[in-house]
Amino acid sequence: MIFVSGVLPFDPVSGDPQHGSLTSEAHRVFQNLALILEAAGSSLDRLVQVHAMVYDRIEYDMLNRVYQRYVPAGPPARTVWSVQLPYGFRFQAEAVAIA
Amino acid sequence: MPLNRTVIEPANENLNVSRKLKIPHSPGIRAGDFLFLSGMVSVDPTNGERSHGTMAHETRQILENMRHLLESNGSSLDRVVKVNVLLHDMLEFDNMNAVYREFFPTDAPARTTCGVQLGFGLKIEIECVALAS
Repeated sequence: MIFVSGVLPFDPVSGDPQHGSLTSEAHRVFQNLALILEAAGSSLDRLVQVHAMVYDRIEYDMLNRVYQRYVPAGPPARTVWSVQLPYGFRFQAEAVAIA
Repeated sequence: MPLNRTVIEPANENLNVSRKLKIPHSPGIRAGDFLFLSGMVSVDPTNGERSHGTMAHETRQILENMRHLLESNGSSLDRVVKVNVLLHDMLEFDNMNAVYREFFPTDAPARTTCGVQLGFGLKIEIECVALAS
């Protein structure tokens, strides 16, 4: 099993924060999550559980629109949390995946 | 073959909040090779009462109690694989980290932190998943 720490919208090359809209931040988070899983020999389609953390539940539909592009078939178990995030970001995701 | 599922408890009964307050959870569950712990808030191990204080105080109290619960069941802090830290205010992030890193100085577990509403005026709650012995 792979337990992934909360993924935030940092640029994976420069390490710079990539603040933006919920949409742009969610794209960055899922792309970073894919890089992390692939480095561990896994992949997005081996996700079993995701906690999707948004800064405001009003963005729920926007989140889903981005989310389903990354897990289009047989998506993992998911809970959406509306929480305060670090560094003023709008989105964070943590995940459990099969190795 | 189904995984074995058992309830795990702290040796110190003062720290068994589930039983003391009759809340419908267990201090933790062992499932196969993993221990899943319920979220822990700051509790005084001498009397089982909530122990309010600074972020540093509450963080330290929780992690000491978590160490006790894990060691009561053959595990340990260095077998923790995943942590969720829930803070009453993300402004206290650095205050929490200053104490947290004393308990996980090397090869720290996966962790996610966020700001949430907590009950009883407490400042932090921590849950974790650990490997069993």
